[in-house]
Amino acid sequence: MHRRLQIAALAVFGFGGTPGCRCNGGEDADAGVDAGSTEATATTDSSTGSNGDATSGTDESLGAETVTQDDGSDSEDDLGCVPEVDPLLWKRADALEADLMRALELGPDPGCIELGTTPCKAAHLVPLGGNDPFALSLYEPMPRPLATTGMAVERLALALCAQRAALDAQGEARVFGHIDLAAQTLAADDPGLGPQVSDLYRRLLARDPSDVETEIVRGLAAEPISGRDFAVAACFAIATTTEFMTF
Amino acid sequence: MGLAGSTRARIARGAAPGPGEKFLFVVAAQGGASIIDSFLPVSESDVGDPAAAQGLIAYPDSVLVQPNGSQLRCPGELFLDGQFSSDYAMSTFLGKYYADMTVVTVENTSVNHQVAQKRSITGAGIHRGRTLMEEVALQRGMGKLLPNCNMATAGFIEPGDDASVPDAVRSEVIADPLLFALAADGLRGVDGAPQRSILERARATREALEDATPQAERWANSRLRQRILALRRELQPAIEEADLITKLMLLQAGGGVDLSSRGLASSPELPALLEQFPELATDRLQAQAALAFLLVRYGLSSVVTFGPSFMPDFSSTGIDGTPIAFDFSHNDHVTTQNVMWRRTLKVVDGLITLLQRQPHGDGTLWDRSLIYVATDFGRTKTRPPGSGAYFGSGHDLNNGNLFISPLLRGNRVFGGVDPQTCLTYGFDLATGAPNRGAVMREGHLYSLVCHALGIDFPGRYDMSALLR
Repeated sequence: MHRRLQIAALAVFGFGGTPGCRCNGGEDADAGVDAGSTEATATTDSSTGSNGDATSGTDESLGAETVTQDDGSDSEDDLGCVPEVDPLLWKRADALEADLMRALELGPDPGCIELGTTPCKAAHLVPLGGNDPFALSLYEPMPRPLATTGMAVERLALALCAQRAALDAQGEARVFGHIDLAAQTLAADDPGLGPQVSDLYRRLLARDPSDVETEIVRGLAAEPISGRDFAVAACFAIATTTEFMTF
Repeated sequence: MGLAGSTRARIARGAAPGPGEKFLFVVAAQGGASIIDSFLPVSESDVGDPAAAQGLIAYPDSVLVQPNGSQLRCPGELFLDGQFSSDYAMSTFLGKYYADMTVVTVENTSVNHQVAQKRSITGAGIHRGRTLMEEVALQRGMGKLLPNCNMATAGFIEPGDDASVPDAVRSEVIADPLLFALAADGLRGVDGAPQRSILERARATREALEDATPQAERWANSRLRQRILALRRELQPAIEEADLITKLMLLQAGGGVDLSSRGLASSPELPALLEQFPELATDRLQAQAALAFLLVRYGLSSVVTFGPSFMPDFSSTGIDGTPIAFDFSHNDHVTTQNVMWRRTLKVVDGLITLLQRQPHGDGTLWDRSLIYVATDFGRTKTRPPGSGAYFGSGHDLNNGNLFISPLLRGNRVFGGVDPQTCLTYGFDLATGAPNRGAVMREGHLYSLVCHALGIDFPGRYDMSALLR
């Protein structure tokens, strides 16, 4: 019971965006099975009658037990499972967008707008990890990224990076000031590339890039690329890393 | 570690579904769709005593319709006053599909919306807490890009409780069917974006950064990071290559939306969809049904769930349906049930028509499909004397569900209704014969769907008496 309470407490406090479950003997219980195991083992099965609803009994007319049954969370096997707390948390819709806009010094307008009509965060709220208690009665967000999460994040980041580059190209550059945004082709050894990469790392990841990371991003200019495209591509590449997408 | 287990194996290319596949559509009738207000109505003459009939939800004999050949009947035009209406008749649906319509009575186990909804899709936990959608996707959809798509709300979108269910078959929750296609490509149609070749270089750069970052070693055991990377590296390219952003695009040019200048286009199926769902641009339920068809038609999903939400859907003419779907019955039972059943059946009719027109093997997609009209629970069976057709109802465990499928023994009610109480009763599992002492539960409905789709599990009821 003590262990069960521990499991419940971990779940209640939301530790681990996608915890796994390590079972008896410390072996991984599910090899890729997900992630929702903490919720499943820790929460009360709604069918156990917490509402005082009819949930059990014998249906004599059928000669069979009625259908409601516990999910087995009281079994020894489950009690032998301890959640493996994920060291990372999913940076979800609001935080993701806010971090991007802060890093790129963008105001709320126009923001990322799909097809010129719908804010990206609204259009992709669920895959971005948001929840919507009103329209969807979705009181809790999805426990783990969905199939379309990566693409939704890319669309948000790409739109905002492109927006920043466009603004910087029109006036005094706030973010992409180390390179010539008007250049048709950036030289691979353009002296502004390194500082620009460092600036983006500080803005987006709050750290300096390693030499290796700097070289990787500079590599975007190894083939012909315009100043503005480099700006968008570098920003997009860094802003869609798992490092940016997680806490 | 990549995606859960068989993800690589399930990366198909979004072609037509293979022969022998079966498909499940769960229509989430939010708020308590009452079977005695649709296809198991009680007439005043059934009750016998006119005074008693005035205290029950019994319909005048004159308004009940029973098409030729149909063993089922339903309310016809009620000529109700009020601002809510539908241009579709229940009798139209019954006349077209009675041969494939099966009513199964049930006594649910909760009158709490969220709890009851979840139990309607988990069979109240009959199969380790797995939802029907997860089980069907697991058994029938592992070769698909998006095996389990869910556009419903509340308890109908809750994940099941079985931790052993792989992520790959958990619901892909779709909030907006009109815009979902956009999330099927990370780059196309984004304003101000460079050419795709540049962005593919940026993606390659990012992947190199993923390996170079200190996180790669430090958080190597993070399942979250593993999942994000696996989705991005394995599933996302397949989704983009399958061009789902086009195949699933329900938007059309006009109305302030310019697709072509952004390199986008409407689904090639859009003209056919608009024949059945002419208001899909403004009617969320129609858009959901249209997307449900596309997801199956292109071999992307094995199970799709959709239905109205508790939010009112506004159209150019007012509110589509009633403000909180079937639960508006609290305010006005007869109108709500009538309007919402008709609204729901209208889109189901459109969906079936599309499925019937889509060749599949030796027949059509419809031949291999099952539609389960799931709902929370029933409604109370009584009305205040003298209230006529205008009264409110509460939640009631007692109800029945509608299934539409060529896979089931159609044109039949399994169970029955007691005209003295308007309460439904069950049936003998072995023969299907009515049995006033039998009580059917959510697990029977779950078992029926699984049995019809050829899925077995420990504890499944034998529902062969209901199968064709």
